[in-house]
Amino acid sequence: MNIRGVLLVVVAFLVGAFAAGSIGVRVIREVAAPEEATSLPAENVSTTVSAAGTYQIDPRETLLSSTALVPTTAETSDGELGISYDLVSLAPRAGVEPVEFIGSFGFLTVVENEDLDHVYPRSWIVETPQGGIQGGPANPSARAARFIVPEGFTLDAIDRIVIEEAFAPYPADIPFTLSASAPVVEVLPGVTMRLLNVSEGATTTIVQVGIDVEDPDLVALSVEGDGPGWRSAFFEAEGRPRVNLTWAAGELPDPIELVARGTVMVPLEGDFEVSLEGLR
Amino acid sequence: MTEPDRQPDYAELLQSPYDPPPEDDTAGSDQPLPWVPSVIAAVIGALVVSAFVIYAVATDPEEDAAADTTAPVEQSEPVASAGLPPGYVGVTDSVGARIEQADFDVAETIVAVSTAVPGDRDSDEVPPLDPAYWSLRRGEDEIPMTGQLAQRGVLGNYTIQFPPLDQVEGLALVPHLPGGEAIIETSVETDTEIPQTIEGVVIDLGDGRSVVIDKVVVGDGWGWVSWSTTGGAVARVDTIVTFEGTDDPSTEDTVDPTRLVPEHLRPMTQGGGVVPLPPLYGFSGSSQLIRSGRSIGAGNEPTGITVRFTVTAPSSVVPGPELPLPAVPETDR
Repeated sequence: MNIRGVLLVVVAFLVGAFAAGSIGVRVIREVAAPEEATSLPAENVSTTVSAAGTYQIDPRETLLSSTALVPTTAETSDGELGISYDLVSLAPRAGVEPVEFIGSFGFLTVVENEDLDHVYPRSWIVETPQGGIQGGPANPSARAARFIVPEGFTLDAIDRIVIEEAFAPYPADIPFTLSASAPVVEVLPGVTMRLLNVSEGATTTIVQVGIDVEDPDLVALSVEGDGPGWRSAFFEAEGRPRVNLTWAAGELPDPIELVARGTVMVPLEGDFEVSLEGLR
Repeated sequence: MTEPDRQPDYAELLQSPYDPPPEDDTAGSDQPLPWVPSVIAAVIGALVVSAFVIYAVATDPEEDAAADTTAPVEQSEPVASAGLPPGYVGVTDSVGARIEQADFDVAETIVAVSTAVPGDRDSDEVPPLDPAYWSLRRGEDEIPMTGQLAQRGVLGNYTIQFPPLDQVEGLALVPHLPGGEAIIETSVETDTEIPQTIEGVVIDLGDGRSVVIDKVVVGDGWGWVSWSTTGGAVARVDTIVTFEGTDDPSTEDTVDPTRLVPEHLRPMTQGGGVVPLPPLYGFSGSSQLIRSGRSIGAGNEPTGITVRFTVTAPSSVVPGPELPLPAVPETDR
């Protein structure tokens, strides 16, 4: 092929590319057109710290307060859908030692920081063309939400997955009093302290306080004496929770000043959509 | 004169009969144009660009978002170091805070705050926020906290207590951060009378500020301490009561007098439950003191009692950024 032929081939290549490119640009513009049409004017748009589409630890994460919920697997079996997830806390924790406590029968239990119940994604809904299916994890420590699904259900039937109710734990410190004349007090909605028994000994008095909690998944409280005269309290979790307190300073005061300490789950505002990416 | 300049003159003489014909602009001008390769080239060019267009459309992130709102936009890297989770306000260069709930009760105002590090920071390498105190600000008015709570097992979440408020609109929460800290230790020695109460110990922090130990009550195996500050100071106070001369014969080669200690310093083997975190800074505080070591009494009688106070106080306090309070439901007012 001579030079004229080569030039002709090059020109033909460019003409073909230009023609296809012109059509392509128009296609791209048409695809983008709906977004542009609904966009706010630039002066009305404010920049947020974390722009839409960015993520903290995983593109599939759903942020619940400072914890990222990352769905890992979705499986159906025997009429049940199970969606497993990880909870990754973004809370700073350098130097924070793991939780250690002496549990039943004197065994030391250690809970590493990454295994704590950072949030409780309690109530989920799987949306399908046939309607919503309610479900959720069995308790705050679970890492899988479960749903009862109809026969023949497949993952392709899922339109959306939304967490409708989620909680995060917060420290609580609630003073209260009990007495023979007022032996029951509600310290929080659904949380009642009850004076069960007062047993006077030679030098000490044992005060037994029962803790009635309507929803144990949302409240974890113990009771201590408030003020001088109390020895360390002993919490009995087996059966109905109760605390044995020892008063060692003479006559027991009336009313008895106590304080409830522990953790209360605080509801998180909003609905939280869970990514379907990688689940099917 | 150069060789190329001579070539036209001698080219014909130097040419062999077996050489290929010269390829110049005029040679072959009477031959037909190579249309087939040209058409093939045009088609290839169109295909290459078309492939690019199809790829661009198929991988456009906005198209992804429009087609499936549950699929986050692909991003190769986490957000930049300044990229805290949505709604979090940077309090330090590595920790942000956000108000999760504000409860305006008739007896107390409670604000729940969570903290987080940016996604590109390792939360294991960033220490928790340690505010000197928090305040609610409305214009020029500052309402200081009455207390702040953190707890082991509840990472990065703070419960902040304020007095009850009549008006809740226009408030912002402000963290006040310590700039360095000073540690002061003071001891009081006393006789062995049990129970006994020690009152009014003043620990000077300088600049007109002090910690006042309002009351220490020492019992036989129990104790109590309460304290407050003056001059707007915040502090944390650890109190340890030592029963001098006592010992635990079950341990050898160590001196382990019986003590009364705050709960966060008690040994794991006593009392069970979860050992709490050390208390946060406060304008006042109180705590039970729990026995560590052998019971005092016959065979283990003290020869004296020493009460040691360890006061930690910020050298200075710097106000942080304002955190807006969420809208308050009518029912909570």
